[in-house]
Amino acid sequence: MNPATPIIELREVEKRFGALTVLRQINFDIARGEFFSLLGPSGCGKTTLLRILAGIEQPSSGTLLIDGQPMAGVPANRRPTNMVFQSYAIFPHLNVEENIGYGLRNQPLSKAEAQARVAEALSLVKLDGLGTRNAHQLSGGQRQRVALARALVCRPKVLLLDEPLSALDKKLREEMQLELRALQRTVGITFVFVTHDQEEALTLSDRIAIMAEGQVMQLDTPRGLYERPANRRVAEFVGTMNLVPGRLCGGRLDAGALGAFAGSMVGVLPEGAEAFLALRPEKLVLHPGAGSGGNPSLAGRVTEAAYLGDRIHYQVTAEGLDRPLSVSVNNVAEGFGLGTPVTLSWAEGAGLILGP
Amino acid sequence: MRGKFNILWVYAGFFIIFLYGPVLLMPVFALNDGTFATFPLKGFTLKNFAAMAANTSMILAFQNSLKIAVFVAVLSTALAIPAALALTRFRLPGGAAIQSFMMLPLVIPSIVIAVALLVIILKILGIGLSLFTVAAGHVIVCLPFCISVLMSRLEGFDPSLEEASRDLGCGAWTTFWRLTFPLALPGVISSLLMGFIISFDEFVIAFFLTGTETTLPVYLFSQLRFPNKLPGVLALGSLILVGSALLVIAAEVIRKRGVASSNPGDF
Repeated sequence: MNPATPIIELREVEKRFGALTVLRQINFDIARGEFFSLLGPSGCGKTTLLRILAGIEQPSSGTLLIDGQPMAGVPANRRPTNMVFQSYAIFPHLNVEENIGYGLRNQPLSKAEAQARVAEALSLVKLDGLGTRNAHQLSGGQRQRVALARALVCRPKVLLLDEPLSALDKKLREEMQLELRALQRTVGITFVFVTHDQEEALTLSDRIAIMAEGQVMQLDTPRGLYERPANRRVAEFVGTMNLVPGRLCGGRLDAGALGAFAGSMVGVLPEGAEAFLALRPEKLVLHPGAGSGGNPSLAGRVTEAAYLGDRIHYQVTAEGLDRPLSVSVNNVAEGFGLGTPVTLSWAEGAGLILGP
Repeated sequence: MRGKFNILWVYAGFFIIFLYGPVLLMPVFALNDGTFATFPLKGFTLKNFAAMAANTSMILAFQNSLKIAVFVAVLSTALAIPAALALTRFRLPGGAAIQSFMMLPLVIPSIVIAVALLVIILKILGIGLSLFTVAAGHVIVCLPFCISVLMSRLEGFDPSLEEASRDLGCGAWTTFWRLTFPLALPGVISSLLMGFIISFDEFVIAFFLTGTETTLPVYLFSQLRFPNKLPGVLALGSLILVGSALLVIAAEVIRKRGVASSNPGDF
């Protein structure tokens, strides 16, 4: 197979459960060796899409190609994919080795070869010496490693991961994120990772598809998503974003009494359409006193301050805006007390103009 | 109110006496050295139990009951496994209706089943009565019990286990033998014990559907006509009582242990 062809191709994939459409117009490719994430709130269809890739669910319409082969009618057990389930699905009647070797019995391998593969997988996920442990003797993190080894030992072309880190505590989760990324580089297999945690997706992924209500809202690199979100919903989902509502007027955002703001346009919006000026907290600069900043700027008052050590996060309530603005500044200068009148300014090109 | 006299304790005491008193009198009289089951007791003896060993017709009836019970336990469990799988694993159209339909023999009086089967076997099928017809009747009565025991076991485990097995390359058949069956094993064993005990104790259907050979409960009943056989009947009844109790306890212990081990992930 030509290495330039995508490992996964999705064309017009739709999924309906009765009258409910859970996936619509899914069209994208996943490249070989990519760490690809499906990110979205619960109920957005990301897990259903993963289960369609695995063959556990069938799409209602559309086509799916894996490694150039059409997957229509190919059951889960004949697909070159393996999955790490959210619950890990460790077989409770088998020990660690037997769990990991479960899939190998369906492959034409000698006993010695299978044993060698299991041992290799055990050390890959750092579980050497735990092969004879029973499933119920394992900690959450160990169960996750067994699930990972059990899938990887089959040498799939694509590894599917359904929120594998969501059951772990924060510290372990961060450790496993780094390990997972390193592991993916080692084995070079394409990973498709489902998560609702945007930070996790940004940390791990080469590319991310943001999903909402069964559709892909935006597909981009983590940097692309953060710096040029396609619309307000993506902007709010990835990181923190300050939004100034208004209407598009001559390439600027007319925010009524607050004035008109220039910004770099994302996408194409018709004149007069509802739009937002989007500003990341770290792009804003705080000046003491009202009306002391240059243009563009907003006046307001500090209503909340959170000291984070290296940075300080302020909430600034600006006149004429319903929601306070988040501002993140380096902890170098004097802080601002609560109630201090301030002016917020930003560089001309720092704001984006987004549709809803 | 935390007085010494609590009406609930009295109620509980009477309840237990009412429930088990008559049954427990049976071994008492079986060990009594006298023909009549009356107080005062005359003396301790084991001769009633010893006499059973020499009673060939009783041993024959016992063997018949044993054969039928084993056959019924295996057959009704084998039939119940696919039914329980279908009811727990798939959203069958009309699944709830099918389930209550399968559970119906639980509430139909066994005399109705017995008479209906008698008519079908003799008049419609034209088969002679034998131990096989008894066994067939027992399978009908045992099936709902076996299905519900197996269903409670199969409902207990994570559906992603079977998905994982498919994902790792196993077809439906391999998944059943490598995953579902071993996990359901405690349920299968208690289903076997349940089927065995129900068939072994069953009287009405056996009485109606048996041919020349009799089962143990039917034999017991026939002996009641002779007053001098009563101590022997009581001795036999005592043994059945002990055996049944042991089997039911074993079935329950296995089922409980199975329930406990189905959630190994919960710490």
